[in-house]
Amino acid sequence: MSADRPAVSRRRLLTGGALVAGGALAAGSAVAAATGGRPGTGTGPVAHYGTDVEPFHGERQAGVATIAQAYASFVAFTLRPGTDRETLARMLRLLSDDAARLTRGEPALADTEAELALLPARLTVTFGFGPGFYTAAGRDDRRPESVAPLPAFAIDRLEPAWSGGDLLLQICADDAMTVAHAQRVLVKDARPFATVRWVQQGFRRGRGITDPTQTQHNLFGQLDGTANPAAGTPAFDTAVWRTEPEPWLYGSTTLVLRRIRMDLEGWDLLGRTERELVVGRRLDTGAPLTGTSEHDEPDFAARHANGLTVIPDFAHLTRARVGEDNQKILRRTYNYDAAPAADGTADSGLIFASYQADIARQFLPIQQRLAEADLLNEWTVPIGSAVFAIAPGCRTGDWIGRQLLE
Amino acid sequence: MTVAPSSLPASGRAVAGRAARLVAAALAAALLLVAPAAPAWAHNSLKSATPAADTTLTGAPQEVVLEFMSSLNPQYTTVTVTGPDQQQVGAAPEVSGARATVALGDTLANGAYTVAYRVVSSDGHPVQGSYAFTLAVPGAAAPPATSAQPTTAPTPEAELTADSTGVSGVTIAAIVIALLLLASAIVFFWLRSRRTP
Repeated sequence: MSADRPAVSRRRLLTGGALVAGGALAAGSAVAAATGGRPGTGTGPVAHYGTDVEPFHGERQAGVATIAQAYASFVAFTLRPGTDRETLARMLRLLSDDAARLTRGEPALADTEAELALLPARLTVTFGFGPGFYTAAGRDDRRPESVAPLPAFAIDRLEPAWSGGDLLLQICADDAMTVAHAQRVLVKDARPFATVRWVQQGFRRGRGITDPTQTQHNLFGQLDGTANPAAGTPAFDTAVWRTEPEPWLYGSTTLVLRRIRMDLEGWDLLGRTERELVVGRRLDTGAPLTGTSEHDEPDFAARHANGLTVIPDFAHLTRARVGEDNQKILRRTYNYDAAPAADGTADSGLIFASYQADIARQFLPIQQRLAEADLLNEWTVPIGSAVFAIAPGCRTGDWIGRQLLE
Repeated sequence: MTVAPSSLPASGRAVAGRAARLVAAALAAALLLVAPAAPAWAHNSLKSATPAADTTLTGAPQEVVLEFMSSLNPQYTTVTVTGPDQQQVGAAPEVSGARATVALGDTLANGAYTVAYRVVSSDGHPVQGSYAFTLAVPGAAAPPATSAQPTTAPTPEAELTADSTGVSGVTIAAIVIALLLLASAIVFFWLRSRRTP
């Protein structure tokens, strides 16, 4: 490998790591046995959320249908010049191995902080390929057509610092330490092949804070994601997973990742009623203005006695609405909250992650309608945009991306 | 330990001069707030309407014209005209500057009509309201017997609007605060100048 590896033999680290891991497990179970396994009373692995595992291997990659974990780090890379198909294969074998181990709660090979790998906390590592990846691999013919930079929208204020990318690693877990450790391992192992382009880190409600199947609020105070297709339903599969027979397509999906800055200062000036008119839903229950509970079907034809529609034409709900399952998108959005400016102005918003089988059929029409007219645009600005193909899954012993590269 | 302005050293007179200018500026600002012109940050509101509110017409109008205080955004301008049978009449509004025009068809039944609007101010805030007028063309068809006449009582949305040219609550609060500050500044500097060494 390259010269910037630490001057310790891999075997020593492996052995040492295994001993440490084994010792920690042994110590942990001894302590747990002695204390009855109560959280906070021992130094070993907690018997609850920390050891939960999301399987890495399968026909489809984890991290899409997976119930959204509390923390996410989206890391985009730019491939180093001269990276070719063979080099990409080496990289993906290594990173897939890292991901398979870490998601099981095992240290990666040559993991310099093996202890930090022991609590996987439902870790998922999801691989995405940008247009540049296909070009470097000499596989442009296998790239889905809409995996390309999106057309420009009038509302965009895209910054190159948050846009594009050849390779994406989406790292999610219910614990921030787990995400940090996985990110460190993967970034180090990617170093010979690629440079870090951007990292977008986000959060949702912590594990155990609320019912995981319930829609969560975003930083506008708005319930965000009501109309999402539910995992495990035919509607979800239709919307998200590709079914073309080609092995590099079957079980894949696409990801549009938009960084959306919220104007919280301006949003402050809106009264509650005005906010609900802008969104088209009640803030407390998420019910459409024509309904009483969150999942009520909105009635866009309902009018007040004076003739105005109850749900405004310009409401976000109206503009984003789609009817057919194959037009829906899966939003698996995280919140970001960077440090405020000296005068307290917020730097917060959404890491808007949208998964769909076909960007052109599903994502673009919605985004176009929103860009043309959606009053919520007054308080949101897209400042980053990136598009990736989410590769099919891999079986045990295999690696992500093999179907594309071989 | 303050002294009368005339006996202050040069720097003290400069301070007193600055204070006087500040008071004058505060006074000017307070006057601006009271002035009738709509400040840029105010919400859009209806200035005038044809047919006018609560009037009874003896001839069918060709169109409804709403004139607002500020320019309209055509993307976010809605005007509905609802007839005595609770059905909407007229075309989608045509927007030009601060004016929205709804072309009405030929056949309008007699009875009560409600004009409602929903527009967006320059700061993005939605504003909505409505009013009524009555059509009573002699010899024309009577209003439909089955439907109840809509009242001209204000609709629940009216609380969001500034239909008239009245000043909003925010403006009033700002004026009161400015005048209080002005009054305190005047008293403070008056007291300073009155103290003898």
